Amino acid sequence: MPTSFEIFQALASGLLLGGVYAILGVGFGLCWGVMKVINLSHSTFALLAVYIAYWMNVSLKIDPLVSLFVSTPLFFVCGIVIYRLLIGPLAKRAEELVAASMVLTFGLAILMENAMQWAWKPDPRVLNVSYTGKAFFISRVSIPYTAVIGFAIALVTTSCIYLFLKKTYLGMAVRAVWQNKEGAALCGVNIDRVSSITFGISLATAAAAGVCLSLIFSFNPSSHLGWLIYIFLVVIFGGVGSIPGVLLAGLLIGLITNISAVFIPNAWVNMILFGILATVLLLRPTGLLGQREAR
Amino acid sequence: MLEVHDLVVSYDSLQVLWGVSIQVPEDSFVSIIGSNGAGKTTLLRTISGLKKPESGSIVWNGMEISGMKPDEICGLGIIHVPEGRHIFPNMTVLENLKMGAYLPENRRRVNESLSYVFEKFPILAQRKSQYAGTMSGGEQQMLAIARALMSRPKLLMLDEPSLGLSPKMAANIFRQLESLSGEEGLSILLVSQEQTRALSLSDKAYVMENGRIMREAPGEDLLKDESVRKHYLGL
Ligand SMILES: Nc1ncnc2c1ncn2[C@@H]1O[C@H](COP(=O)(O)OP(=O)(O)OP(=O)(O)O)[C@@H](O)[C@H]1O
Ligand SMILES: [Mg+2]
Repeated sequence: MPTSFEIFQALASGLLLGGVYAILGVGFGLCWGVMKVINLSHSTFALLAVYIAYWMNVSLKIDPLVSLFVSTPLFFVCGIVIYRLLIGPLAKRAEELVAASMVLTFGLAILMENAMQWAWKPDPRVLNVSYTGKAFFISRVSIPYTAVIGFAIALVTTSCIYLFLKKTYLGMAVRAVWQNKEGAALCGVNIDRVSSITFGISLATAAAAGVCLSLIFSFNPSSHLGWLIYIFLVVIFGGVGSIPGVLLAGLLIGLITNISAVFIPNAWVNMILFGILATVLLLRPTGLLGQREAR
Repeated sequence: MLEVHDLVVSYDSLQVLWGVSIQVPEDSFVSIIGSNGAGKTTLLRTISGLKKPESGSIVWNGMEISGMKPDEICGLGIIHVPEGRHIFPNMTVLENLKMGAYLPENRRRVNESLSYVFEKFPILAQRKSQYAGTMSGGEQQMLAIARALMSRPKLLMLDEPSLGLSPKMAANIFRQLESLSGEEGLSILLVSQEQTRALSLSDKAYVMENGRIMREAPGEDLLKDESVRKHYLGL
């Protein structure tokens, strides 16, 4: 029988990990909702941000947190360029954008994976900083500094996105395009411009997520595939249209995986996770807080 | 002033407009009547840039606008209240109205515009924070018109604004259109199945059939015309 100490430990680490899933899900869901683009390279971009953090740390001795200020703006610009060159033209031609975008972005993911393999070799890496492996204690429960930092970044990023969508005119236009593209165009919204900015923001959040991930996990050039499954899980669980829903789903999935791992063999954890997901979707097909369209 | 010349529009290989020409003079009320599938919606969608024409020209105050994007055309003051409303269901009434004033020059006057539309549609002021998707059909239609007014239209194009509304709501919408048409610098181009009402408000009306303009006359003349009464008004 697991001790209460073990359970508290699982609670703490689950919550912290969940924050990182949430931030990945928020960016992915934004892109899916607004543009009907399922970006299978979302986690690959997060992984690229991990390698950028790693490379800057190893060769330039720069703290991964500082790399955040390089990769987020860089990825924002990247997103706009990728939208202008690839996604936008595809959106104009494709009949079924959801399917076509998956093919395109999967291709992009493979391309990036190969490039990372070439640049950093296939073997796993770990990022070591002064605070790696250090923890503080709340009674006997150990809380790693890296997890706390990752969680804080996740929380700040998702709050920024939420405020942007709710409080700014541009954010309102993003929601308008999401809910009714033609209606938005007739209000004077330039759909291409708003879509490219949305894609930029989505990739910028992937960069932030990547820096969190670099602090928590070891990684290799194909790590992004495993993360992608969790992204799908979080977004469908929380509801594509709902940022609070995705945030909640991320935290819950972090908690469920870590807590069930205390009670049952690791191999069974995913069974529990998918069992819960199936049940939620049967009861609420639009996800926990989903409205199908952005609220 | 809007002038459409010889407009040809197709969906894939199906041609639906066969050389349509209409004019909407400044400060006028113009309507288009015609049976289902005549191409009225297609004509409005082409003017507002949602659909690209095969050929023909659309001229707004001397400037060729066919081929421009919907947001650019909106910026010229040609505002389209589409068939089916196209409001934003998961935004509040207030947010929907603010979206109407999205373009910078309209955004600067957003508060002024808000009090203007709230005066015209007091129900919207009461429902400011309600989600638009939860409003009744008639309320949503008012919201769609009010959102268009937030864009400061010079030409307001409405497609079936009374579709599916109770007679009382429909009468209300037409009363609003009548009072709007008196306003300085606002022209109205109306497509409606309530043909008697539409014709009686119109300075000029077009009868459209199978993608062609069949007749053009003052609304009152068409109201009196035997064949129009028989075919369209069911009298
Ligand atoms: N997206 C589309 N794809 C293919 N054909 C279309 C499309 N939209 C309209 N059509 C066809 O174009 C023709 C004109 O349609 P339109 O909607 O313009 O008619 P309408 O005069 O507005 O009719 P109603 O009074 O029923 O609204 C119809 O035959 C219709 O089937
Ligand atoms: Mg129609």
